[in-house]
Amino acid sequence: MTGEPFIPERITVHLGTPDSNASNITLDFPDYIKNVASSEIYPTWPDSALRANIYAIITFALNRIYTEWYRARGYDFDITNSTQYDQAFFEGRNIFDSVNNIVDEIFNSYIRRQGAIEPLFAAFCNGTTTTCNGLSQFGTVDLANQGLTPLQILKEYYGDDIEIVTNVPVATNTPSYPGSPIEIGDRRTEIFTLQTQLNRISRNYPLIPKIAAVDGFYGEDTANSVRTFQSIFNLPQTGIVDEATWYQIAYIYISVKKLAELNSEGLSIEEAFVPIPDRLSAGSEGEAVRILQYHLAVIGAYYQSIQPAQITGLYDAATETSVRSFQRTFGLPETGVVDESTWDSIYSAYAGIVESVPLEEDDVVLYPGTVLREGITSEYVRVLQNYLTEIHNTYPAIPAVSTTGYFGPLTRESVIAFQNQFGLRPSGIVGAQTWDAITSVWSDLKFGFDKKPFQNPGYTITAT
Amino acid sequence: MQSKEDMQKYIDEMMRLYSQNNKADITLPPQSNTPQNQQITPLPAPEPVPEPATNTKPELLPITPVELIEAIPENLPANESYTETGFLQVNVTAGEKAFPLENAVVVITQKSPLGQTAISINATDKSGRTPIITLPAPDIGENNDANTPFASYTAEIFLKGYHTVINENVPIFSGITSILPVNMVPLPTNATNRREITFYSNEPQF
Repeated sequence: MTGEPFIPERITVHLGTPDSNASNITLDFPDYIKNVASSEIYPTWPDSALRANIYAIITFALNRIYTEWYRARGYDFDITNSTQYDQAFFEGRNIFDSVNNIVDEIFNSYIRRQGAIEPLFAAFCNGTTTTCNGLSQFGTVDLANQGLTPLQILKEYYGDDIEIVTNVPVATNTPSYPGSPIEIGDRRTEIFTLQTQLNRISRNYPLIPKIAAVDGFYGEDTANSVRTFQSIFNLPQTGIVDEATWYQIAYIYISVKKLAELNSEGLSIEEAFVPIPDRLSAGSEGEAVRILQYHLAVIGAYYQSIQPAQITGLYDAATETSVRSFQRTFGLPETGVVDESTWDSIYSAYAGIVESVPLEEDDVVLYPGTVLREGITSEYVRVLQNYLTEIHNTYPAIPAVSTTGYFGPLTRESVIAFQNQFGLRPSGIVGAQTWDAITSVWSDLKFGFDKKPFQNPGYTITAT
Repeated sequence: MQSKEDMQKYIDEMMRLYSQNNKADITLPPQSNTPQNQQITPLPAPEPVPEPATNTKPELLPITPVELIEAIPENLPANESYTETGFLQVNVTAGEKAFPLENAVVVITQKSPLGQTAISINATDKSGRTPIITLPAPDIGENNDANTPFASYTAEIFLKGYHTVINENVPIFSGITSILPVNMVPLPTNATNRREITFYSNEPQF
């Protein structure tokens, strides 16, 4: 990798030595770090020792990712859980609250040599049965007890010319932390994002109260929702949105949206009746492959050991990896080819999910497949105009438009205003990317305002 | 060692008893190596559980989300050295935290001469969380060694329609809260048994 390092949204961990026949699991990067830190050190150690170790753990993982250490050698994972090669990780283990709080605070920081870009190869060892040219975990306890700060402890082991980089961008595809904490009385554009995301999350976590007005102003209701979110997700309940809270909200929002988007994608899949061939394998193309990928995407959202598949219609290397990980998880021969017995297991896993999980009613209209531009008349234009008009109620800079079904200059202006507001190229035409963005925002606002049974009481929402 | 079926029967019995708001003493099921008619000393009766305000009990689980058993059986030698307490909180979700699972049953057990003994049963709330569970832990004391003593427990999480999750060796340190995030996976429709997924933890050695 080149360029400025960033924090990946997720990381794929091989549960064994690199060449061993073991599963890979993919999980959110902060959760990975919390697990490693809880597996490598004791939670009762002094704060500076914990922090120094956690900086080393984060940096080690980022180094593996930035240098593409395993990927470049043809492996399909980022790091292993073997302490011979990497750092300890126990799938499904508990996290300690002392570790949890520190990781939430610093997961997007890392150590580097002054003058270099790359995350340091922050080797460490326990310092008792093994010693190494790096941090001694055992040694950090003593140094912390002597009153050294985390950076001083790290310099003891890695040299004086290291520094800690903070506020590193996180690759979540959601807006970045604005740089300073958000609190009562603030009025900023980032607060729109915050309020929209929290309302969307509250649809799945009904104890989080709805924020009545998504208006970019951080008042008492927004603070209450933030506080409830903090309490559910083991953050200090300050009601202030610091970096830790901002990113935790973003990660949960992503999980919530992923399922919602898959549900709406599923609507069109269900309508398509397509005969499934006896086998699908690398190189296959078409609607049957899309259906396969859709099923794997849904199943992958529930199983950390099943690598997700993009719904492209082409059976590529990523699809094959996904199929293999499915076969492995379900005890089938890992052929990478989808035969009848693999399909049976896929249908059964998918049906099990649909049975157990409450499906979200999401009546988002899917992209019609053709670009909408000025001069066109169609039902989809009418749907587009309706979405823009409803979005206008929260974002007045995006003009409302009459739902005539004719894409005229006013509709074009509204599209451009939307594209400007949400960081898209202001072309004034609606292709797949703009359509998806419009439906995503509309869906967040609509479902954000919908109260569910047992919704934390407070007030009646009237979408203004 | 108490078998899994015995454990399941024990839990079912607990649920049945509590659904009737029965304040009778709770007895452990007879052990396989003791004669059928010999009962183990009953646990002390727990606090009465209030009825929930709304009658929205799902079919599997007629208990309210309160800690039902707090007393630790007295004849567990391991507990003599556990003079302090640590804490455990279990967070149960699906779809990798996309949504919380309410009314999952969380049973904490400990190894004892009797086998695995349940010492706490909880159900998760609307956010998928149990209350904070207090558990005995060893005194950390004046520790010059980087190794810190801790107690080990097993957590089992049950919910209809999902694989059962068993978490062994959950470490509890004095004064520390262990947070256990549990990602439940829906059972495939062709699963013939309620399949279990077991996770193991290991603490570092210095």
